[in-house]
Amino acid sequence: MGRRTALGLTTAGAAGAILGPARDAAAMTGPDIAGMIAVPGRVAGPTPLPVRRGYVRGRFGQIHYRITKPAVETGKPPLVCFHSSPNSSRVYERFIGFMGADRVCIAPDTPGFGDSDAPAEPPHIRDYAGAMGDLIDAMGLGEVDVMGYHTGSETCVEIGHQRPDQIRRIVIVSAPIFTDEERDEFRNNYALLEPQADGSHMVEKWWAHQAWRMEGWTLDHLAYQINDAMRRPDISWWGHRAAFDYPFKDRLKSVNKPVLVLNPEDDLVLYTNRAKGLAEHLTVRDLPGWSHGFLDLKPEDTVKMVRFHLDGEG
Amino acid sequence: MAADIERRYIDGRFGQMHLYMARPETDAGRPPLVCFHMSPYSSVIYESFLAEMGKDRLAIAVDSPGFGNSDPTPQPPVIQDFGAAMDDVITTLGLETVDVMGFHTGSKVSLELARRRPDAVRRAVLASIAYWTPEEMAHREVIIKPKEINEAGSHLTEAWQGAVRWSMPERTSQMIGNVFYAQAINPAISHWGHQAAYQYDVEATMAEISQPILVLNPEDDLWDQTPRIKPLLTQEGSRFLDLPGWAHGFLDIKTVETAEIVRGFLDWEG
Repeated sequence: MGRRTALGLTTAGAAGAILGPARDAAAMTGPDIAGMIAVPGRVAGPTPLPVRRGYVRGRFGQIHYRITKPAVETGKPPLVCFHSSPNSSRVYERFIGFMGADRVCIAPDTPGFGDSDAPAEPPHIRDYAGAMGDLIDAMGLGEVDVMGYHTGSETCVEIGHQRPDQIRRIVIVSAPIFTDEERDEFRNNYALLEPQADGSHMVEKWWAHQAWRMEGWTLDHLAYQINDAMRRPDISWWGHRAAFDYPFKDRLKSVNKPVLVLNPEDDLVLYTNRAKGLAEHLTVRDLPGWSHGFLDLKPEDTVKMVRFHLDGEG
Repeated sequence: MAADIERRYIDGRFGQMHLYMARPETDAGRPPLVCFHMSPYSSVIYESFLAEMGKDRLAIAVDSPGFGNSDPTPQPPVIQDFGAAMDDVITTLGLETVDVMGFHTGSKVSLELARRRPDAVRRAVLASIAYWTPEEMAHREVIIKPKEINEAGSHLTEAWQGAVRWSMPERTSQMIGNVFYAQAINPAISHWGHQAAYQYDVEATMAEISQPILVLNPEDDLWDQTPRIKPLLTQEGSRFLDLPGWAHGFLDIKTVETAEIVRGFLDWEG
């Protein structure tokens, strides 16, 4: 077996000169565009606000979060955002960079995902909601609004039950209302995927994610986000496991909070349609043509819908 | 019992810097050890090692700017930028004297910090290091680009198979899977680390520093390259150690053995 350098470059026969630090345009999201902050490598896109990160302690260990804040306090309740499985708060990175203009926005990594410590055993949605409650307490947030995406939608509803006096309004991206047969099928589809010596285990994930991306959400966007789905292959299926075990329909019906359901045309659209007419406190908003990636591609439109629901009267 | 790992952020000149820390329950009076990772990857490669080294000293691993969770430099960096950012970390943490350890690119960051802060850096451990002399550099063309991402996903399998190729046989797919994500946390700028490393003038730095250096030479992709540093190891107390049969993954597989070697060098009263 021939040795090679780390980059596949041979050490003999090359001629020329080392290039200086290339200002390679592909790596940059551009200079500040109209007051926007463009972070090199942050493929999600530029934001008006800086997105910072931090940790607090919860029942399972450290909880990692992303946060944005308005320049001046507005008195509006903070918005806490729960991500989909098996991603991380990176899903919300661009969105909170806009949404934080008039309220504190916090997007935690669910325990076992992103940079948050994992529970010792496969958790339930009630455990995720409990840990997110720990974050709310640790940050001294008081009354909050919550937003969730797929698995995060279930966490929103559950924390609404666990903390009825503290959770004010809820926004969920998709409402995963499954039949028992569908649950069984999904459990099998989203079970543990053992890492393979040839790396083929990742290809399946890569293809599956491509199938549901919104037009304009590029392979670079996908590569940036799917990275989090590659983490902890031994436990990355725990989020889906919890989601498929949760009696979401009943809990959604009985959570006594105004809930806005955003219904993009993604892999859950058929199931989310079942939320229509389910309860008076639910408003389902169809988003035809939108799919995964909309929080990167349509942050301002999403902010408008979310603000309308959170700040509206009644 | 292994020391607990805690992660945190501190502010540096390029934004937030992310680090892993492990410490003993009682202060053992030894200088803290600060570790710098290879490219692309992140401090996650040091997780097992920190838990071991943290038993008898404060052990820290810092994500380089643009890698792991540390904010990137505004432009493609040079190793001097990484060294400056690491200086911010030890300064902010109030660490007056430290030992440093590097892995591949991180070895160059270690040398740079030793050059920049001779008052603070006591000893350095370098796990593999590649370099070219200024004459060789003048005759080399190194163009490092972001990896092309394709619908078929071959960028993922190629990177995975590259990791497998230079791993120790004992390194399981699960072990690779635990750290693999870290090679593409920011895929558009993942090449910035190698780009910086390839331009760094190791020879000039080695001539400037006087701290004792231990070079570890596992049988990885730099096995043939690393011994080239031997003539430059003129600092009193410096050593060179071949580790045949060891390769990527040794920090997880040979954790205790590595800690023994590192402790032997750092705690030696020379």
